[in-house]
Amino acid sequence: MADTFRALIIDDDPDLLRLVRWTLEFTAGWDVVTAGSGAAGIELARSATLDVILVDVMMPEMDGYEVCRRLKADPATGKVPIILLTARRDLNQARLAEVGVAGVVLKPFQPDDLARQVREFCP
Amino acid sequence: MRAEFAAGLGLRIETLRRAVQGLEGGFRSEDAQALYRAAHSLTGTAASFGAEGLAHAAGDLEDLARSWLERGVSSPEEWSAAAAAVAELDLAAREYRATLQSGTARSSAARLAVVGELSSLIHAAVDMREIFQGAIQKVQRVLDFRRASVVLIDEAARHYYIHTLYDRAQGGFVPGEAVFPVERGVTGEAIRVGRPIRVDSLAGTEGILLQEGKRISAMIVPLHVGDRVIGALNFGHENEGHYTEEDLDWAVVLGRQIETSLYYSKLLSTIAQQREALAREHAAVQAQRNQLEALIDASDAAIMLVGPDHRIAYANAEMATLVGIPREAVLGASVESLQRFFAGSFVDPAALAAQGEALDGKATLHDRVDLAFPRRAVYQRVVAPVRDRGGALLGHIVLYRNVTHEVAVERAKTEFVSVVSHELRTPMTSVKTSLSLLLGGAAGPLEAAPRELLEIALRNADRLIRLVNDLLDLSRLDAGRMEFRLEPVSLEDGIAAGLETVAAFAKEQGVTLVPRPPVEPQVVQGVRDRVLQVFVNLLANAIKFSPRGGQVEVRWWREEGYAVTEISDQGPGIPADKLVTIFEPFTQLDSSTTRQHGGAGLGLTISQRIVQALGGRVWVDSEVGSGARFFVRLPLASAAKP
Repeated sequence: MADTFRALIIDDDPDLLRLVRWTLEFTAGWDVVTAGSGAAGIELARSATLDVILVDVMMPEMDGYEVCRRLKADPATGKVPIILLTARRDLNQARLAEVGVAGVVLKPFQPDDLARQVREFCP
Repeated sequence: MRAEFAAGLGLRIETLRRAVQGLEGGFRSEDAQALYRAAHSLTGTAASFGAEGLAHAAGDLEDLARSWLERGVSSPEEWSAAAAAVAELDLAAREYRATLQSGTARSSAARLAVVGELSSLIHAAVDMREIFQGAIQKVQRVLDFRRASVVLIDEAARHYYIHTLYDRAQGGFVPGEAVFPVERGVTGEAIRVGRPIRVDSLAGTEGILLQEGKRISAMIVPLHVGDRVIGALNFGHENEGHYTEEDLDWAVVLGRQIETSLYYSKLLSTIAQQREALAREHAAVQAQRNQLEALIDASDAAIMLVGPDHRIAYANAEMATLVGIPREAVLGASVESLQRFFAGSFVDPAALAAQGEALDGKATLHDRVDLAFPRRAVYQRVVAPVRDRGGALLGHIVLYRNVTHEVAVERAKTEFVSVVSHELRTPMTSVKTSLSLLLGGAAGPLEAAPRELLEIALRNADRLIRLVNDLLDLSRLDAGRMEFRLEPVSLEDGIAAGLETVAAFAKEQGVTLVPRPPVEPQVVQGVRDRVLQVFVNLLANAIKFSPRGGQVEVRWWREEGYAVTEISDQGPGIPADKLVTIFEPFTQLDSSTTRQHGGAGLGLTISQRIVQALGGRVWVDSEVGSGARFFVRLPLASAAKP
């Protein structure tokens, strides 16, 4: 299924990880893989073909910005658009631009609208 | 010759008086001719005898009579001028006779000396009592009297009272408190007619004069100031027929001296009063200044006042500490020298330049600066022009207040709310997503009852999320931490997006949304998401309070550099006393509406704060029973940036 949209979700909250995956699979029929930490996510991204990566901002050890910076720096993953998923409203716009984020989706999102929101940020 | 002329003066003046009185009844050529002839003759004779006062007054009458004859009419103003000239003749005649006669009991030389002394009183005395007492004491040398007094009339000119009373039998000046009607008595008569009176035999019941049970003699000379009789000078003697016509003439001369000194004393006292008023004003200003300085001293902020000469007019001890030099050295120092002391204090040197510009300019500087001296701290700084009532620049006020603690508390509060909101949102996201997936059939089809229960759970999860979002917004607006990157926002698009957002809610409530756009599209200066937030809040509010089947209308228009949007509903309306408070946080009309209409009551507060931050205004117009109309005024993009 070459035209199935493929997404990677990186979040330290296992409940949310599962729910976001189900939402995207159920409402949009995407092919979704998940990672519970930044390091695992970067590892997975290198070996998979992806259309988009969704990253939680606040994670222990490696936060969303750092994950994003590393993914962008790696030629293997640098071209995949990255969307930040966050509950925070006071994000530093300059920092977002600096790390090369394609867009931000605020938590809590509207589940049946999540796929559309993400697609809107992808070229 | 002179004596004959003097003796005949009374008759001549009487002739003139009658002619003038005749003319007052109506113009008659014979009267005017008689007046002219008598006046003309008197003018010439008086001049030849060196009686200048007489010649002058008679000349006035002559001129008047000539003019009447030429014109064949006379006016009331002219009658009173003629009457005044006759009165003037009376006085001038007395003066003339007084100067003419000699060899009586009192020598003219002595009397002239008294007149001279009286006129020197003019320069010395400022107080009426001083003038009257001085005059009476001097007059003793040239006139015999048992009692002498000055009476003054009241404002309404109905009564006169004894101002100064001298009684030789009692050894000097005595208090006289009595008040008498102007209508009665010889003194009253003299005041009423404005002419001096001599009485040779008077029953001693006239209170001012004598109280003995026998007949006495008296002279009363009315006192004029300007064209008004203000009182009278009285002399009384215990013997009948004591005063001669010459005595009366002298009394008149003395009266005139007193009048003159009174006139000057009034001038002097007016000047003195003005001087006193100025002194009082100065004292009041000084007291006000002292109060102000006490207030400034009591403040824990550092405050100084810079005068228009760029020197420090006042500074409190805190300011001296801030500048780092003794207070005595601050006072009177130039702003430029103080700026040098400030220079080393700022963490960011640019803060000094801003202060210098504000001190030179007319705009108010209101910012926060970090200082390294006298302690590392954040200060709230205000440099504001001070103006007088007419708007002229009087200088500047400079104020520094240490807000380090406030800044830390603010930061902690914002951080706390931010973290808590985040921590709340994350689990709410999972709850909401789980419920949505279940309702969406992710776990298989649902029966009616479980579906309804899930819907209730989802609806309330959404409400909780809105509340958290609102609280966070409010906290950031309060702390001034909400970012506003101004951009042109199409009002049409903003309202359309707002209507779309609340469309489902309106349908559920059975409310029709009616947009009424203007002919020309409007573009405001704002932040698209925030403008949308305001419209959604106000629309949701209007829908919430509308009856089922009701309408919510939205209209908008341009108004002097602003675009105004009106959102009106057909709800129950807002009582007058709640029109202002509804914009305060957590305010709904009563707790029952909270239950019925949902929401925490933060929407209006947030909307108002957002619009204010965008340079606009939100207000409401409503009456109980006739719905509510909310207005949002936002600056037009074209007005903000030409």
